[in-house]
Amino acid sequence: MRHKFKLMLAGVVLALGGLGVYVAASDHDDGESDYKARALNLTDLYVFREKDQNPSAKDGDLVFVMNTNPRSLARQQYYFSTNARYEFKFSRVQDKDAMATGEPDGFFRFEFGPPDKNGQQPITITASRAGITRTLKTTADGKPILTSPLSSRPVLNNVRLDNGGITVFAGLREDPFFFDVEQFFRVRAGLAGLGPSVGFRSPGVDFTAGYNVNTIAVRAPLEWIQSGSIATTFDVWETISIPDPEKKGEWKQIERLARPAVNEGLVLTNDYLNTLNAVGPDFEAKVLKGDKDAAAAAAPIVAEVSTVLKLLGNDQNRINALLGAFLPDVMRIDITGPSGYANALNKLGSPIRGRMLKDDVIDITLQVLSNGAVKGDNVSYDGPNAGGARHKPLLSDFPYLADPN
Amino acid sequence: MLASRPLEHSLKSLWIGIALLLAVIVAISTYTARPSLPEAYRYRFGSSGQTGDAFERELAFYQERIRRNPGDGLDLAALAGVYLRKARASGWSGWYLLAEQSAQRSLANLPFANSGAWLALAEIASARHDFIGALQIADQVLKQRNDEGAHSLKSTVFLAQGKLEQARQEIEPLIQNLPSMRNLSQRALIYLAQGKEALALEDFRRALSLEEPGDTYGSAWVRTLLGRYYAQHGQHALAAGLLNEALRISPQFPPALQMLGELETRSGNYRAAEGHFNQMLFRFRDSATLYDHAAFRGLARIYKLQGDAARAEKFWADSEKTLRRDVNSGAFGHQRELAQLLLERGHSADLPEALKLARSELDNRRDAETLNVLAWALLENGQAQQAEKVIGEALGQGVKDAVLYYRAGRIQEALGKTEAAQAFYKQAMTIDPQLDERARTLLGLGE
Repeated sequence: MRHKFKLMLAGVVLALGGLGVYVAASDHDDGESDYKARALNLTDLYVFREKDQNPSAKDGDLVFVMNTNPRSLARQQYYFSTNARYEFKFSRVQDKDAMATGEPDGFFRFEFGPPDKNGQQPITITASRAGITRTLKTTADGKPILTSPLSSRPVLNNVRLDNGGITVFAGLREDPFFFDVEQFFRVRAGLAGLGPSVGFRSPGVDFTAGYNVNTIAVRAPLEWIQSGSIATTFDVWETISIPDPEKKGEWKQIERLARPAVNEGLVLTNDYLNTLNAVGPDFEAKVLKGDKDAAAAAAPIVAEVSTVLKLLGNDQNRINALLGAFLPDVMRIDITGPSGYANALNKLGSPIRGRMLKDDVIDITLQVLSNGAVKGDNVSYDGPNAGGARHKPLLSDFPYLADPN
Repeated sequence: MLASRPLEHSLKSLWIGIALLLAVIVAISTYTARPSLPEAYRYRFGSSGQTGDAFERELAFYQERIRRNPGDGLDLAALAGVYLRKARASGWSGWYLLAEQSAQRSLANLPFANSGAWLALAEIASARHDFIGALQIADQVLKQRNDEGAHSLKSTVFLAQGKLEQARQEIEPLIQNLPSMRNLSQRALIYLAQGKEALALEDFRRALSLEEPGDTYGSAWVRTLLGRYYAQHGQHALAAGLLNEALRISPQFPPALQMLGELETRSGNYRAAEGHFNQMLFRFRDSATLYDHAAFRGLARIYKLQGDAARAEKFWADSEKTLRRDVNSGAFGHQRELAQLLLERGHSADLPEALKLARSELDNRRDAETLNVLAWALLENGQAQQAEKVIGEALGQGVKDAVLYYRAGRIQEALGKTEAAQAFYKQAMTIDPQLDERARTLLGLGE
């Protein structure tokens, strides 16, 4: 499942319930599906200034975290796909208030080889910025770049790039996301008239507690991302692509994710989600700019999003404002202030301070969409949550995510 | 003497050199003559972590979560999924029952937004050959959400029913969206049923190129399907290579054991065949699996071919008992298999029942294999003209199956159309050049 959750969906579905439109809002079941490999599912994107997570960290480093493989079970080794490309893409933004272009200025790409007898996969990293692309298979001291097996200490790969270096971790970690998914379904069904009317439990059940995810974490120096510019704001998104069986040598993007709750929060129809997963945020930018072809292609999706927002009680002005705030779907980070999902909004109303590991993005989204009427789902990273479930403490150093269960 | 020694020594060296060279040439030619597998397994055998221990841990994990929140539904749906995966891999019917109970409890706790539990029930219905029930559940899920799992399940059911174009239409959009090992191998099966073998082999190749290190079931399953294809086309060495590789990936994988047992029987390696069938039976010594009847039948065939009628009868009886239990309880509909067994065993008293069973199964599915069994039953009951019509429908689906063509030949022969019969026999031999007398006896095509 993806945690880019669907909170927005809450009211949405309720509102749509009477129309007979019903959506299983969760990709929580993705992890159990046989139809799509777990390794090809994105769950979350986190981007933050390292010093906000760790005050003793060097100033000027950014941390990117991509979580995949939802609902990975405790003490079980899972692997990254050996067929896929996992990518962080970023663009430099001169003005934090500017609309996102969704066109990448650079990327970090990760490709994984078959696991060895220790369960470690070799990693090929391709890093690109300002037209310079470098592909590496070894660390700065000449060793293979490797994943961390389940029961080992985190393997930190220091990799030299064209100017400076990055630190890379890839392996299983405890899933830091938290949400009372099941109660959300009940609340939604109650409001839609499909079940008894209920509210969130207190404390709520932390559905993801005890699960792991396969994480790719990158610590990168700001100078490398800036690439000679003076940019202090960046748009980030993550994708998974696989070889296109119909077009030899080409890649087919099958997943895209940035802010939690955007794609799957506002778009209800699975086919539309698949469409958005296959394109970049530049597509959404073109739509918002009124590009004829893009607008025509996106018309049914925009119509659905608008309907959803309208049913939530938003008038056309607010719908336009929300579309402008949440689309294109990128995770914007302005590094001039402390990182945190709700720490600051720009003129468009977009969150612009990235996302930290413990940010309660569900509560934030619920409050935004309900205009403060719903405070949250009564679940937090540190608890207390129902049944005593809690997450492990975060690590004090990179990659920061807690050890796997 | 002294002068001849170096010469003798040189000659000796020369002979040794020639012998070594020959040995190397033989070794190289033997090596290169080995069947090369379309896609060798890229990962370490046994490295998936999907062992019995992992399964136990998975069960314990969900049971603990359910204990903590007994009123919730999602964990129960996940538990049903665990049981189902185990059922698929092992064939033990008990796992299906546990999966069903978990899915039902899940839906009682969470009747909405729970497509995982609904689809578990749909898959169980499909495993029981309750195809209508499975389709109803899948459609119900699709009314709520365009769920890939529901489409995939519908494709599987349509294929089983012989509705090949509908099966293809369900899987095609999934492949467009996400070409995966599962989706591509499903389309390969549909292509095979339509007789589009080149397309099928291309899809199998693509499917294997997308295999992932953790998906041992998928890797073993696709190799078993491909092994079956080559076995049915007379390429036994290639088939054996694939099936053995499937077993290295997923030891004791019942479909691979069954196929390998049948292949060894066809090759006259009865001891090896017996070993594979016994392995299928001894995995769950005290409880029944969905593959037991096939293992008993395999053993019966071995003894029949060896002329040991008494032992063959004993294993026919075991297989019959297993199938009748399934058919009578309605648990896992094996009417077609029971009809097949009765026909193969050849007791004249059983023939009317075989025909009744085959006809009844046809109401449930009209795929080429079911039509083949009905044609056979009709022929054995002296209704060759009707058999001709039925086998014509089977062949009309397009599948290139030597058994079907040979059966068509037998039917033509019974109708006195010798020339037509010969043409069918020829086509059968073109498809499977290894369809010799032993194979025909084994496949119930007459001796």
